[in-house]
Amino acid sequence: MRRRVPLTLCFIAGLFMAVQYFIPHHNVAAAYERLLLWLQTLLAFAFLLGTVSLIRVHYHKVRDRAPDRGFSIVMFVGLFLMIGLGFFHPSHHAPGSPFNRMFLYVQVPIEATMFSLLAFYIASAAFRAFRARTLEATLLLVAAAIVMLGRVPIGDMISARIPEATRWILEVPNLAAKRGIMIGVGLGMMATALKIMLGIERAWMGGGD
Amino acid sequence: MASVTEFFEKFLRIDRRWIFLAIAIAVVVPFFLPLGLPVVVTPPVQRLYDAVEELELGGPPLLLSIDYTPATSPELEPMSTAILRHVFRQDARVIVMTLHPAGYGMAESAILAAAEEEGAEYGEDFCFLGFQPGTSAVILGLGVNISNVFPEDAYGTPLTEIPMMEGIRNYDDIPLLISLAGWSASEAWVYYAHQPYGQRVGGGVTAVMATDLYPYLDSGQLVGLLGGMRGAAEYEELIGQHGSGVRGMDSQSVIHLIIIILIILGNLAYFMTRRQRKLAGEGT
Amino acid sequence: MTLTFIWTTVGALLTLCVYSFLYKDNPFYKFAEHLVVGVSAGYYLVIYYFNFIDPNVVRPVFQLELGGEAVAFGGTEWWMALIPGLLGLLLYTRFFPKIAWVGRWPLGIYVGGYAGLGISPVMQARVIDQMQAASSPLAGVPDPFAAATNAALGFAIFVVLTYFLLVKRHIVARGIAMSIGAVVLSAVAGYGGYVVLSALSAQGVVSMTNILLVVGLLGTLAYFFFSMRHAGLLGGLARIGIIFLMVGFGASFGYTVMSRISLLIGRVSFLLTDWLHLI
Repeated sequence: MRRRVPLTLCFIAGLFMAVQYFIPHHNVAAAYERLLLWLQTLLAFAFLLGTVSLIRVHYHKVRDRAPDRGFSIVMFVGLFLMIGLGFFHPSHHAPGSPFNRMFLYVQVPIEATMFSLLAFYIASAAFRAFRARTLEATLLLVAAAIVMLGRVPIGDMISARIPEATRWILEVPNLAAKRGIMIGVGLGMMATALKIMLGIERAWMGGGD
Repeated sequence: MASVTEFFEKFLRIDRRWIFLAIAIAVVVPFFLPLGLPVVVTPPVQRLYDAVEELELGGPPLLLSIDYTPATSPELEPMSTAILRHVFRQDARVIVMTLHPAGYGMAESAILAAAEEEGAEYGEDFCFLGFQPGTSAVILGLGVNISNVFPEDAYGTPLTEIPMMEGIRNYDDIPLLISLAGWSASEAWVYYAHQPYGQRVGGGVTAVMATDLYPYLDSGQLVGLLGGMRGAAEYEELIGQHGSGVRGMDSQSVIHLIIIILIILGNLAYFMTRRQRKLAGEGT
Repeated sequence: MTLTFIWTTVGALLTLCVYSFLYKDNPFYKFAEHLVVGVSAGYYLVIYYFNFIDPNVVRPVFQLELGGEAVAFGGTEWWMALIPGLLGLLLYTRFFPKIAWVGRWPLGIYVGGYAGLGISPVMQARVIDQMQAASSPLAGVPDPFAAATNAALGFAIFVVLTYFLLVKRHIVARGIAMSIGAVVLSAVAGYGGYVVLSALSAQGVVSMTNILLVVGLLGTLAYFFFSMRHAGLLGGLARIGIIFLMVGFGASFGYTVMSRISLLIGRVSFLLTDWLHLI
């Protein structure tokens, strides 16, 4: 019951979804449509599970009086404010509603700014770590420098050859290498999917019996 | 000689906050002193533009999936704005949706702004279906029947009551699909819309992802590709209305130059100090 | 002071809170960090509920309505909304250790279903179509004579290029300056060949490009083939593969820098234009 049932369900669901592409029968198509919606529903519930876990982690921090519990309270204020505005405010999530503004003027600036911090760190890393120590590193460095110049207007201004060389790098060596990786990863993805379906890969079941 | 080496050694150990400051200055200054450098259009962008250009006046709509999140919006929002302006200007129609919950707010703000600017009407020229979870299940579901996946639009109106959705059942009625994403959504559209249904798919992605998608472009699995803010700038150039993409290119140029100079200086300092260390090693 | 300005100011102050991290970690950054975790989780929850769970599960089951049409209580549509909803709820048994194993049932359907869905399209998109794209241009050359001569010329350039990069590799040991010279020389040779060929005939470029693409693809695949020792032909191919991979990674690095800088430009534009209206 504890391991066999989920493994069997996994195998049946996987096998059905994998072979339905090749069976053009209306009953199969109808079952396929239903199962697609079921998968979506399960994903939606799984997402909400993540929110429950988040609440538990921060609740424990507050309860155990952890030193940075103040920030956990900030998290709760953000979370419950959004839930309150989204569910109970008369305009819910309509454009211009407080919920919508919280997204546009709180979530968007913070998230976007956090990612933009990487600009500073990549510049610093380029200075510190990007060394032409070996032939391979030199190749990488030269290609990167050409592409960096060739994809900004100043590269065109310096010489029309730079964007041309950039295009060549992208469309020939880059394409060949990325195609190789794409095929290799594709084969790996299929192997993993098969291993999951056949019950060889069971990490998703977690520990225990 | 020793003093030169000392200088380079010190230079290598420079507090990284000085580099941060240099980058900050380099990004701000071009906003006040624009260089106005021209943006040259590259073939992947031209191909996507041409595909949108083929959409017919009042004909079957473009399906635009705005799948990006706030984190990557500076690169991708200029793309959605430029594409929507292009579509509305040629009186074509567009269905907007998203595969990411954060894409909901991004898509809504982009489409409402473009529609207001170009005088497009909800339900006639465009509609917003909202968000659906489950990426591959959603994309495959749209191939069967759009109203199975989206029984109603984002505002609770059943699809049957939206005039422009009349006669639109699945990918057969959608001549072009464009996904704008900072994650693997564009690839998912290739897997699940192009492969099983032959849907024409175009992509707009962050520059980080762009080089990885070149094989799809070469094989024709993607009809065109916009890569990062530069891709958006090229599209803006093509529609003849400059926005934040073209505006950002000046700062982009200056910082790229600075980073290349930093790399060269870093290497120079590294090799100078290494040679000195080696010589010192041989001497002892 | 308009409402929009107040909201924009909130956004700008939060932006500055995050940038304060560049100086050093501090409470302002932590405040913004925790706030965004809460706000985004709340946002996602509301969007998930109103876009999916409410129309597809709650309304069909409790209000007997789906997409504007009535749902019969106890009918097929009603059950088809209820069952996945119940399965979804089973996922929450993980919070109750004694019955946590029940949560594996819906998880099994979910994991298996998605795995099965992917196999065929991924195989087609990543493997079959890519193999086809890699091989078809070689077969589809219209003028065999031009193709043969250009291909030979292209191949010769390729050999020279790899000779510099592979055989002369021991130069590296003697000094990095010479290896940079070799790279520059081979890059000039390769690119020069490309320019000469494009002047002579467009077909030549196509032939050379296709050969390079095939050789690069084989090399990359050889490099990632770990079931055999990298010696002999496989070893040679793998070395060629490394060259292509490094140039490919270089292009990726260049694009990554571009990406990060664009994000910064976006934020600076928000501060200077949307907030301060300086430009």
